Amino acid sequence: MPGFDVIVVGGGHAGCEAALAAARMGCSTLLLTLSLEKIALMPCNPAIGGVGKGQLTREIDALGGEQGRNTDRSFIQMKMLNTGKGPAVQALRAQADKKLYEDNMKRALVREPNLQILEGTVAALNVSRETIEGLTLTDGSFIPARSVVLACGTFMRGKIVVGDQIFPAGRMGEPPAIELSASLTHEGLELSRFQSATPPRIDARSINPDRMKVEPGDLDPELFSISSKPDNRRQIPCYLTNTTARTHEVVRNHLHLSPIKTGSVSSKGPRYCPSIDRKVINFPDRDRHPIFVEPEGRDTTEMYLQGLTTSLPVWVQEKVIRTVPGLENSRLMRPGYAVEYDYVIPDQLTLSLETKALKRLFLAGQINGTSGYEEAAAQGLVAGINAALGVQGHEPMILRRDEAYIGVLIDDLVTKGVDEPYRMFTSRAEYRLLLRHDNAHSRLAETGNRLGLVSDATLAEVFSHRQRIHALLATLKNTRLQPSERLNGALKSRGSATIREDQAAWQLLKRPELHLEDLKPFIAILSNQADGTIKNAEIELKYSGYIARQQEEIDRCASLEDTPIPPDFSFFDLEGITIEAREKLSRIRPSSLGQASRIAGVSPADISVLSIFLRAFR
Amino acid sequence: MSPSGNSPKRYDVIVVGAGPAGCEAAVSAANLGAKTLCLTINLDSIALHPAGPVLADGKDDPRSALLQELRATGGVLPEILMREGTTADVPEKGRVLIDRRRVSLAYKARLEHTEGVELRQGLVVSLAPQDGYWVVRTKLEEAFSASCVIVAAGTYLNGTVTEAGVSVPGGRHGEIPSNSLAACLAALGINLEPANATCFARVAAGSAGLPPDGEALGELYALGIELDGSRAHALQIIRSSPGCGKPPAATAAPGGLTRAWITRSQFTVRHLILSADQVGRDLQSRPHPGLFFAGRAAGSCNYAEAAVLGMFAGDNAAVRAKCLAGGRLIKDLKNIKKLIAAIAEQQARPVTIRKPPPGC
Amino acid sequence: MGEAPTIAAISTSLGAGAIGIVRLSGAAAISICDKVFRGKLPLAEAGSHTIHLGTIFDTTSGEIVDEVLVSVMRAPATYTREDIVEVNCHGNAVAQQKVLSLFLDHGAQLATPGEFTRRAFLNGRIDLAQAESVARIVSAKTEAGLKMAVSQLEGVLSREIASIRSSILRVLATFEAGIDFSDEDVDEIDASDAGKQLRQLRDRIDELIETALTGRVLSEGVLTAIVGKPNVGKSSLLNSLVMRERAIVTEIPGTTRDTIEEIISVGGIPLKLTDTAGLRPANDEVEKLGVERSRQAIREADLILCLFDGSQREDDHDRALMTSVPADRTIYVINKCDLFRGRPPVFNQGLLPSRPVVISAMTRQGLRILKEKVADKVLGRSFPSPQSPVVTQERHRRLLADASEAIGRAEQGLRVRLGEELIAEELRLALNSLGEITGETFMEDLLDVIFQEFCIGK
Repeated sequence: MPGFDVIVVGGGHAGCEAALAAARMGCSTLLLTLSLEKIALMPCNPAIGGVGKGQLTREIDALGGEQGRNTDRSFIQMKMLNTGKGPAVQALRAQADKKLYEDNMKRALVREPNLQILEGTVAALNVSRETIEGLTLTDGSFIPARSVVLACGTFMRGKIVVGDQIFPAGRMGEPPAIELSASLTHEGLELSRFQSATPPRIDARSINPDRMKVEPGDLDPELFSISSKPDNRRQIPCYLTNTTARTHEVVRNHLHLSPIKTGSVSSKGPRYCPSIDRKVINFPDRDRHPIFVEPEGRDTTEMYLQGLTTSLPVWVQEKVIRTVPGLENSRLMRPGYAVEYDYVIPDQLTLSLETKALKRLFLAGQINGTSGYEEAAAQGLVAGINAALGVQGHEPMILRRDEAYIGVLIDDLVTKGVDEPYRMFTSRAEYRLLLRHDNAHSRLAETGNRLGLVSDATLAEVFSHRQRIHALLATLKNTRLQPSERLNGALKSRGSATIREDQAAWQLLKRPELHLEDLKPFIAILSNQADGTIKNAEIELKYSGYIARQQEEIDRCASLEDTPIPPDFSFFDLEGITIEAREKLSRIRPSSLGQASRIAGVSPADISVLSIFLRAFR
Repeated sequence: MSPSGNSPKRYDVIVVGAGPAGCEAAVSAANLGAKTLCLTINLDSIALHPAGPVLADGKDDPRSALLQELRATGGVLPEILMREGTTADVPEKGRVLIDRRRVSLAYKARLEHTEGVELRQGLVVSLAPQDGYWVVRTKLEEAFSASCVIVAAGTYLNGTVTEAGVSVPGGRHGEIPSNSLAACLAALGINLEPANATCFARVAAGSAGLPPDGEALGELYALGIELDGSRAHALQIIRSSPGCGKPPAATAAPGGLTRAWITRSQFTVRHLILSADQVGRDLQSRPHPGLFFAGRAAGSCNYAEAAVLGMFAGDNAAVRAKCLAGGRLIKDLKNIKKLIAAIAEQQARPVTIRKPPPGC
Repeated sequence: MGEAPTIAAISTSLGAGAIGIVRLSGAAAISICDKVFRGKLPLAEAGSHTIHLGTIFDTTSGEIVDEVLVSVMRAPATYTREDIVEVNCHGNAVAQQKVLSLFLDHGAQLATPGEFTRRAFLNGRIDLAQAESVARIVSAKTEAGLKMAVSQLEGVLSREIASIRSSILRVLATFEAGIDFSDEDVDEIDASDAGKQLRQLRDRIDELIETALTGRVLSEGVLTAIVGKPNVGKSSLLNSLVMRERAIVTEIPGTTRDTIEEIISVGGIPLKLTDTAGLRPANDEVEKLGVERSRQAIREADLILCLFDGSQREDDHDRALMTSVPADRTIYVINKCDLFRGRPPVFNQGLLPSRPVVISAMTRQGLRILKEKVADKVLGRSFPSPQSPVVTQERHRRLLADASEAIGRAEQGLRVRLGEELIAEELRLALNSLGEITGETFMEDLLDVIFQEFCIGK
């Protein structure tokens, strides 16, 4: 068999990004998947984005990845969340037509010149001198590779649990991957198990929309990708309903059949996506939980029941669903279920997502203990990029916590490890005021361009947008507003205090209730500006104090971040540090003092000792 | 009794399987007023047609005649073909190629939107008569009952997938088999015999300089090329082959397949089908009234036949369940009649598909 | 048991405020420090429990590393029962580390976490309960036999900080839940309710700040006046407090007064005596201190030790003093109890506004009680151990002040309807400041609180 520069194992969200990135950077790339029919599936929520996750998808687009674009092609509803809150926490969320999403992604894969696709199963990794050399498939063939990205999702020794039924599967109806886990363990990687669950799907023809609240998308929606044109396709609404006391009663009466109670599911599931069984157990006093009924596509009748994740027996699921207003007569199309699977403990990776044990082996996606399509795609993109960079003899790309949510994601995984499937929240990012939906391209387009994933034309567009904002800001800094009846009238109508003397425009804008839009009639230069420029300039203005403060904090920590720890540094010789800290440091092998300071179990005193020894070491 | 203590949910007709046979069966039964449940292992794998996109290959292909008769009598497939448009459908010349993905989604949509059809994901593990009805149970302990059950389980009954000498249980590549159902049928005294179905290797269209099979799929079927042994060996053979067995004219390639790349190896599914003499001309089991068979499980050789059998099984099941006067008239449809006769009464049919069969 | 090595360590956290302590304990503590310290006198001649101003210099390059205050405490009346030297740096983490490096270069060994406390415990200086109150900063992960699970940070202070932190976390969690799970069923934040909660938290922090020693105390000492009419025993009291016949003199340049000032450590608290009676025995001026100078000293002092001769009846001079010292800042001391042993003093105690401490400066009787009373008065509460509060208080105070300001800004933000993410930012800053005191980060705890309090989840 001919060889490849990069082999990507798994055709899910991580695998697709990795394969496309590597191929677009000029590497001969192979995407290996268990089934050609199941590429870029969305096996759970039919949505991309949301608070925290939307920022990831946006950054993926900024770097030249595919998820943003693909979502823009495939959405049936688009909505900006947190519009009532500040721009740092606003995020885009799309409901996608699942089948269209798959087709669009597959099309992108097929059209990529350097990319081949192959249906097959990995039997073992081929390793020599701690470096990956290729893969052996179950049919005996060996495919040489200079680099491998594993993005196997929930398939490694997957087991489905529903009620007391337990059987091997990667997803419902699909057999699991058996051999790969053994191969990884053989190569010295430590695995653990997580579980993930998905709610039932019901038939749209059997719901009663009159008893539920309609949740429409945005008119004139924003889109994820900078390359997408404005779109006014007809959007499809979701519906909002809720569980009732009766629902909780039914769940309670059948809790003894829940795998949580019977112990069939022992591994950890995510706290932020609890099953309805878990909700009833943990919050017995609540008499209602929201349920969102979401269409899975424009033409299909399958509806996703967000909020009713469960692995109770199917007949109980049906009973539970029928207690929800609007769903009294609903028909089940797919039952909810839990899947337990192997993942690789992610502190065995470096910040480039390469394993420490084996050179040129990268891991991305749920295999690292994350959940969510966006988290997976972000890792896939980084892994693909770094696999390609490695093959080309370059240093890997590592994004910092103050540069991107992707940086926060990977640093959290690699430095802190996971004890539940990891999901991104804005609260995880200490620099969230700097990492916004509106400035993702400004932050990352240059990197994307340097890697060859973002075109010069796109980069030029980002630059000129940035320049326009700066020009506007500079002008505004020098603009003063005179008190006038008209101006004061406008101020009053926004609930803002009137002015008696002339004021600097940017001073007025610091007031939370005022926006640049409101001052448009009074500031000449604003009338020639695009809405996007005005909006972004306003964000910079309103946040300027906080941004400055965060920047100071970043600079203050920079010395820690920039103090490198040599790769062969021996932590075990440091007697001034507790045994526990030494173990953690040896295991994670942080590359900088900054990263070391974030490891749980390493105290500031330990960092102090470490820094002294580093100086002596040099 | 199910664990819930409730009686099984009642239908008129239950269809097991959602390949082309199952889909046609469910729709035609529902169109005759039967409350129909269609159960399938995976809602994302409906009517995938893994054996290939060629439904008929020319005027002399008997499949072509079947499809025409199907069109005349009103199956779902002809409608889908008309609406979807295919990559190289040239009906006058008797050549019918499908975009497998679009057809799969179209069948699913049709099942979902047909009044009277309930589509549901489930693996059937038991089938047994009870109190005059047939009761079907799934792996997740759901229970359904109906007057009539149509088994359209395709290549899934006791399926084993062999690829390059390695065998794993499977209904087809990447999917689990249906073994409990096979055991139930045997327990009912139904004679089943082994058969093989071979799905040819798929080749990346770009690599072969040939246009893609369907817009989203980007592959081409290396039809008619025997590929044994390892993937490397198979690749060698493909690359040295002058071309596909009988490629549609519009897709002939100058460079042939020298730079081809195999996306999926050839695989063979060994599975169980009905022996001869198990069903009557209404496709109903003689010793077990109300139990129907259609498609590959009944012994058809290709998708056109499967669709036809499905449609008729659906008709007949609905007629029986709803005590109707009668189903479609087939007296002018000679090919369909011949097919049904062959299924019902022909002597042992060792069905081994290795080449696109010119009519078995 | 062989001689234990002299150990050294830094006892503050990285990146924090201005004052950092590098501590040495062991037989060679004083001699090691002397190798790199330049002050008025070599530390080898320093009395126990004295503080000295000077500089630390790099012996190889000769460069000055930092201006420092060095405390010398001699065995066995020290925390570890060994000689202890503590160097208060003015510089930042780099300076501290440099000082530590120098000590290590000159023979000290880096202390393992908790080693000071371990030595204190092993040398019988403290019991386990007391050890717990100190070990927190240093990390409790020591070897078996000395398991200190959850330890307190200076007892009441640490409990209060933990409680405040947990309350801030709760408020922050409501904001974060509203941000990250806004499309789920999370209730809108009640601004006035949140504002009230934050106000209460800020008040609690401000109270803590009040009780902490100020920076001035640490670097300059509590301005203390020992007043009393002549011959009442001021100089012998001073000498007894310093525990030596001859006190060491340190000149502090740059002050507006010409007086010579002395800093002595009483009960671990540096007292800066403005009335330096008895310092220079040859200097008669000191003995001629008049009421007028006393009055000035009284006006400026933080703490007044008002001394009376218990063996004599009170006279006008005494009565004048009694009325001129502010009772809330004064500790009344009746001296010479050796002369009226057992019997009540001749001096009428009932004239004094508060109960006096009866001592004999000569025989040292009652001195312990006096020291405790000094500590009590200055800190407003009892003082369990002589070490940590002095060492860390300024750092804590500054961090607490930062936290208080941040919460104040958050309250302001609520009032003007600032974006929730900006208010959350201020609360995070507050938590970061508190975290630098306790050594904890808050991210994991935040998530825990969010998921415990709110039923999130789709």
